[in-house]
Amino acid sequence: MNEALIFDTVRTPRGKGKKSGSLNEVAPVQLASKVLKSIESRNNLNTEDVDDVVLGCVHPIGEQGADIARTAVLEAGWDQTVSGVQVDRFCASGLEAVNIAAAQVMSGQSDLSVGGGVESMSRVPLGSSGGAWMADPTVAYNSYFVPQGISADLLATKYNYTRNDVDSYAVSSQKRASEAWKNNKFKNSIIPVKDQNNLPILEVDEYMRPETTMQSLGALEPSFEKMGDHGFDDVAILKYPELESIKHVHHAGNSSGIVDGAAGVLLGNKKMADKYELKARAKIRSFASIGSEPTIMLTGPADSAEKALKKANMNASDIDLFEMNEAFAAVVLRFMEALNVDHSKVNVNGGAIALGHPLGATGAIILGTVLDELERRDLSTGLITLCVGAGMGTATIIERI
Amino acid sequence: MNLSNIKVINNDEGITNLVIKSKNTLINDEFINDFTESIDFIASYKNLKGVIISTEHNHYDYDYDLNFLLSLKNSELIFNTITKLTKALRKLETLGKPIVSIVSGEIKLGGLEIILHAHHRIANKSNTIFHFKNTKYSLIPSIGGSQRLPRQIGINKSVNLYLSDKVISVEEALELNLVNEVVDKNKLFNQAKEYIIKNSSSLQNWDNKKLLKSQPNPFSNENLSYFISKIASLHSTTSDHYPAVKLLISSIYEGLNTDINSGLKIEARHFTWLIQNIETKSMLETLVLKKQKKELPENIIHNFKKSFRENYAAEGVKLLLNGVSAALIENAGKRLDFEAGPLKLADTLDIQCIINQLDSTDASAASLIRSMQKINRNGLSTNKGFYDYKEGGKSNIWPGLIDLIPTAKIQPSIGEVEKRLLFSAINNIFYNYNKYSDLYNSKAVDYFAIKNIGLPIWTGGAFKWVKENGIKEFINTSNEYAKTLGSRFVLNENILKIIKSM
Repeated sequence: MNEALIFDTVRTPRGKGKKSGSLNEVAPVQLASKVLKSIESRNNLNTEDVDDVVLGCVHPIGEQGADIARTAVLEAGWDQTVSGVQVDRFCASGLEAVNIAAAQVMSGQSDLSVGGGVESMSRVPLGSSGGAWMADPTVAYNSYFVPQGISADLLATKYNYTRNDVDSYAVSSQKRASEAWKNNKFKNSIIPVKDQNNLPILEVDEYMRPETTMQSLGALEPSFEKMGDHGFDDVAILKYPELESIKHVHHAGNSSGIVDGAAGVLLGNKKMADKYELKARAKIRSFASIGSEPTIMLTGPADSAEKALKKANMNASDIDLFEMNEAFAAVVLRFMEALNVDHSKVNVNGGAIALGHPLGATGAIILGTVLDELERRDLSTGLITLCVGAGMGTATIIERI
Repeated sequence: MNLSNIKVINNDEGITNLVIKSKNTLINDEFINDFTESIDFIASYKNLKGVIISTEHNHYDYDYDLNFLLSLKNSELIFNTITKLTKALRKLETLGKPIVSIVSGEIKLGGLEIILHAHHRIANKSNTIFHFKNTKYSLIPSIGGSQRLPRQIGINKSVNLYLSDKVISVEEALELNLVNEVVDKNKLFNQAKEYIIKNSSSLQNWDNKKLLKSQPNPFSNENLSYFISKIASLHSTTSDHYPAVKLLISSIYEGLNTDINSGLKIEARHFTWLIQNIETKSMLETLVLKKQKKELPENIIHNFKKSFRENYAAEGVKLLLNGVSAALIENAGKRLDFEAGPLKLADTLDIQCIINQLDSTDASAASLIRSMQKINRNGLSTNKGFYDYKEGGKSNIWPGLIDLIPTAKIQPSIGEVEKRLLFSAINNIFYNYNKYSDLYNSKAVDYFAIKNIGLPIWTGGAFKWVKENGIKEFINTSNEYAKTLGSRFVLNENILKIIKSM
């Protein structure tokens, strides 16, 4: 099997995912094509050498529809021979795209591929693509569908994470993210978004609230209590009858931020490394996706991490740094508990609670974040994982070369 | 044409009167055949300008003949029978000529489904009234009612009506678009004729290509959020029972994702499954078909009910003493659709009565209740019992309970707890019935058990449930429970004789 080498990681800053957010004026296909153009210029690529562009996108409808990956390839002015495919594994789409690109290289079917993702949540809002999972009565009944926020509160209830626990975690995410920005830790991967006149539109992650404290979070009302009262708590309890009630601990301050953004990872084989004199920054050791119980939905990261570790013949203790997407604070707390991993190794530069989670792109973003940090600390191994809708998890292990 | 259920009269102006005759308000084989034959006859009428549907007895109180439906032995037969009527009416609806319905009197579900085929419905001002009957305890529509009503009045309103026992006045019906015109009785036929004369052709909105886009779409923003939250609230209130509720909303959702013809097939398939479902049949047979004329007197019902509730609460307390977690016990009761969890119900009862329900082997249960009394946890009346009751109607299981009775490390499955609560309840009904078995038959008791005493309706009654779910298994499990849990599960000879002979 060939090694899938990582040459470059690129991402846009994350704009607030609302009409007043800085990236709202930028179409998602432009965000994606800016990432591709940047990959091209940073690596002096002749794009006809790229076999495929795999992009995650969770709401592939409207302006994100009709295969945004191929559309972005064309818009980026890449060679017409470069194909593009859009994939959806909900929140892990960006990582899944990297894994697929890696698999193409590992299997010898691609020499050079891009995996990444894009989501403009301010323009194509959460939930836009509907779906039988939540709307088809038979499916929703049989799978005990509850919205993800209810799942997060169910997880916190089942594993006894208090409001204090999740808020403390959120405060640390904000602190770490703001420290990271202060020390310019994202500079290797981040590309400013500029307009056609080269005027800057957004250069930093604008969602952050470094001033966040336990008191300021304490003032926030739980986000999913009302939703729970309308029947979803009861559905969760039908599935988890050992619980008397669901404790609603999550809110806007300890859940991932809604943002716009795009990211890409350039992967290839040794032949391409030699041809372009590219430094192989890391290789893909293993990756895995799993399915888990869909009502609690968010316990998949530990399972997928263990599966990927097993494939790589490694233990959790062999991993130097983890990126576990901060969809909700309780998800990360559960992940650390299940794998017995210390917080000092997890999301060391903050995560989606502080920086935001552009659904289709996040997996590729945090892969870049952990690789940059491994290089800075001169460490070797990183594990990237995300919880996934409908009860899944995806994980990837990388190792520096 | 004059058939036993339907009369068809063609007049000179090319207007056909289709009159449903009064003798039979139950939809059965003959009714379906007559309808089919009449519509074929109308379709062959060359000078046809329009059809006026009316009924001879001026009501639309039609409903399926349940004896007939339940006698249909297999899925194919059921599906073919109901789709025969659906196809006939669909043919009428798509003749291209205006179909007008004279609406008067009481309109029940089957009648509503028939008049929804008309392009125009003119209601009698003086006596029109719509009676909805909650689908939860019976059947979903089968003559296109789950397809035409939402296409006519919207998804949300249709679901609410079908899941209610609402009575809709003629004014409300007009507002809801259930009828299009309301006129005095003596103007009904003139108005109908006038409509036909003015409209040389007629198409339902759902058959009109220009209007298809304005049909309700399950994936519009509004409808999508409606479905997502409505499914949760229906699921949470029915648990795994009352399948008609799920199939009603499924028919609507699935049907409105496609066109009327596919929607009609979708509805018919769900109906075919539903009528063969054990819970549905049990409820129909106990509530609709076998309703006994001989009513249990108030005082007997009262005694049954009192004993039933106290026994149920006591079973909850005993489960607690067996180390079962309070949440599991309460959730089991709710899933079974008892009026409340057993411990919450216990809080509303006179504590001494619960103690009386406990036999000598339950000394620990009695002592638990006494120790709760000592610390003033007397139940709802003092806002403290197995639950803490807060202002605004909120309550939670008393956190101190776990210190009083430790919870076992290994918990039973929710199914085991449900089974025990249900068996205890059924055995309680049998125990009390024993005294009256000479006076009232088991079917009468089944009816009152679910109607008045508090046994969950989906069971169809104690005897019915045992019959449908296995007599042998019931006896064996009761014997097992009697050995391990106490004499309340002992079936006496008389009851054994009755259930073995069912």
